[in-house]
Amino acid sequence: MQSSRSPRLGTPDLGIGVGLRVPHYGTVFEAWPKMDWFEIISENFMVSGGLPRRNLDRALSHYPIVQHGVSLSIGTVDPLDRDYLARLKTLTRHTRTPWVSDHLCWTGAHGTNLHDLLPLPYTEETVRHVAERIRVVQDLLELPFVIENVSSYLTYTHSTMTEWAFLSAIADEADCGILLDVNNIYVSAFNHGFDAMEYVRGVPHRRVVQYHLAGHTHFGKYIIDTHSGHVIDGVWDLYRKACELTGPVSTLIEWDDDIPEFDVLAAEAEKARAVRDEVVAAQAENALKSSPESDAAAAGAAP
Amino acid sequence: MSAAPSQLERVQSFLKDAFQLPRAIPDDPALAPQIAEHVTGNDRLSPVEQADIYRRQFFLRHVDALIEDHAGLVHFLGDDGFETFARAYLAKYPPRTPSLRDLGADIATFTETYEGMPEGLRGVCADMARYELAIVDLFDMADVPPPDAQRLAAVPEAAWLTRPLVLTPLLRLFAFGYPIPDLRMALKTGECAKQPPPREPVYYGVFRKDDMISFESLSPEAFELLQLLRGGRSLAAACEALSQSLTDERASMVEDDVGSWFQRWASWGWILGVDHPSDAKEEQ
Repeated sequence: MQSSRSPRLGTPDLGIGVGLRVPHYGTVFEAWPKMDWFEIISENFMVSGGLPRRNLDRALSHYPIVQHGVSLSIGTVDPLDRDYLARLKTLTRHTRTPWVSDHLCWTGAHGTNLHDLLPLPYTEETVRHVAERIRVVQDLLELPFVIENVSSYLTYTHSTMTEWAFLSAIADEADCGILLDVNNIYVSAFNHGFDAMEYVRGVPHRRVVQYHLAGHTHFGKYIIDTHSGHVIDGVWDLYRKACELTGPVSTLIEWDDDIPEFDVLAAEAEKARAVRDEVVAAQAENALKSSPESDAAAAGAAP
Repeated sequence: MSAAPSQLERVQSFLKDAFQLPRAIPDDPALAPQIAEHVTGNDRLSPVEQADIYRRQFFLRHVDALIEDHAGLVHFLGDDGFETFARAYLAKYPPRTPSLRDLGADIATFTETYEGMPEGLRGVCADMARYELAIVDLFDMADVPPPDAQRLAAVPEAAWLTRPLVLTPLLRLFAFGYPIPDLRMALKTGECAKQPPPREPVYYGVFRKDDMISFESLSPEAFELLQLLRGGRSLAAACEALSQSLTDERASMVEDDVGSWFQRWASWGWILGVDHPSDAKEEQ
C-alpha cells in the first residue's frame, strides 16, 4: 500500500462510475455504454460459477471493476469469517480490483447474520477493535481496504465522540482508506441532528479513496438510505464541498431501488462529473491566480 | 487477535435479539428501559422507535429475499400467507451466512412441520420448496467443462456398459407428488391454479446447461435407472437391478428404450463419460 500521506493512499482516480446491476445487463452487455468504471457487490459474485460469473467476465472485458462488500461485518464481536475472506480474496484476484471496500458497521453477532449495516458505538474501545480487524483484513487481502460510513437510524448512549471523529480515528489507526458516502452523511445528519458540512470538513481528506452518491427516502421524522431516486441538491452541495477538500476522487452513483433505465443512471453520473470538473477547474484557476508568474504579470500590469 | 470489547459484546448481543422480535418493539413496554440503556432516541423518535426501524428492516429485507426465490410457494400460500410463513421460518431458522442466497436453505424441511400450513397444501409446498432450492443451487454452482470429445471417443464401447457412468453434478433428480416444474412454469403465464392438481407421482431431471436451468419429465423407470447410475453402478448393472423390480413386459420395454434414453441424456449434457476411462482401456 502507498504512503498514507499520498492522496487517496496512492490509489487511482477512476473517474465516475455506477453500480453494475442486473436490470442493466441487457443495455451494458449489448451497447457497452461509455462509463469510466463499475462497482460490483462482492457477495453477488462470490459464487463458484454459472451466469453471475459469466456476466462478471463480460463486464471485466470492457470496464475496470471495483469490489464493494456488504457482509464483512468488520465491527462484529464474532471472529473474522476466514472462509468469507478467502472467497473474497479469490474474487479480488479475478477482478483485479484496485481496492476493496465495505462498511463501518456490524451485520450480526453470535452466528446470526441480520444482513443490515448496523451502526457501532463511537467509543475508544470500538476504534481499537475495528482498527485491529481492518489491519488483519488488509494483510490477508493484500489490497488497500477502504471503509465506508453508513446511514444510521439510532445512536448509542455510551458513544463518546462524533461519527466523523470515530471514522477518522479508525482510518488513521488501521491506516486504511475511506469511502465517503455523502448521501449517508446527509441522511445521518438529519436523523441525528449534526452538521453534515462539519462531518465533511472533519475527515482526513487524503484518506478518501472513493465517494458514493445516492438518493434516499424521507419519512418525515427520519430518512432511510434507500438508494432510490435522484441525488438531491443538499447532497450535491456536500459532494461539491468534499471535492474541494479532497481533489478528484473516484465517484460512484448507487441506485438500487426503483432502478431506472440505464440512460437515467448515466445522466446522474454525468452530473457528478460536471460537479467534480467544475471544482477542479475552479481550483486550477485559483492556483493560476496565486502562482508567482501570475503575481508577476499582475505586478507588471500595475500602473 | 484481542478479545471483543465487553461493552460492544453487550450491546450487540442485546440488539441482535431485539431486531428479530416478531412484535413491534414499542408494543412491549417492558423492553423500553432495556432499549434506553443502549439507544439514545432524539427529539423526534424515542429509543424504542429508533430500534424498531431496524427490526422492521430485518423482516422487510428477508421476507423480500425469500419471495424472490420462492415464487411457487408465494403462489400457493398467497401473499399474506407467505409472509406469515416466512416470519415463522426466520424465527426458527435465523439467517446465519453472509449471503442472502443461503437464506432459504432449510425451507423445504420447514414446510414439512410448519403448523400454519393450510389444509391440502403441505405436499405441494414441500415439493415446490425442494424444486426452488434446487434452482437457487444450480444457478451458480461451479461450471462443469463439457466432455472432451477425443477422450470420449477413446472409451471402448464395452466400457460404456461395464464401467460406472459419470453424471454431471449440474443434474438433480426429483420424485414429486405434483408436476412442480410445470406448475411453476405456468405461474409465469398466469395459468397456474391456486389449488394443486390431484396427487400423483411424477419424475423429473432438473439441470443447468449453457447457464440455463431446464427440466425434463422422466418415466418412473428412467428415473430409477438414473438414480442407480448416480449411485455408482454401470449401465449394465443398473439395467439388471432395475429389471428385477419390473414385470417382464415393463423390463422388455425398458430394454427397448434405454438406448434412446441414453442418447437424450447425453444430448442434455447429463452424461460426462465413464469413470476412469483409462482403467477401462487397460481392461480391454
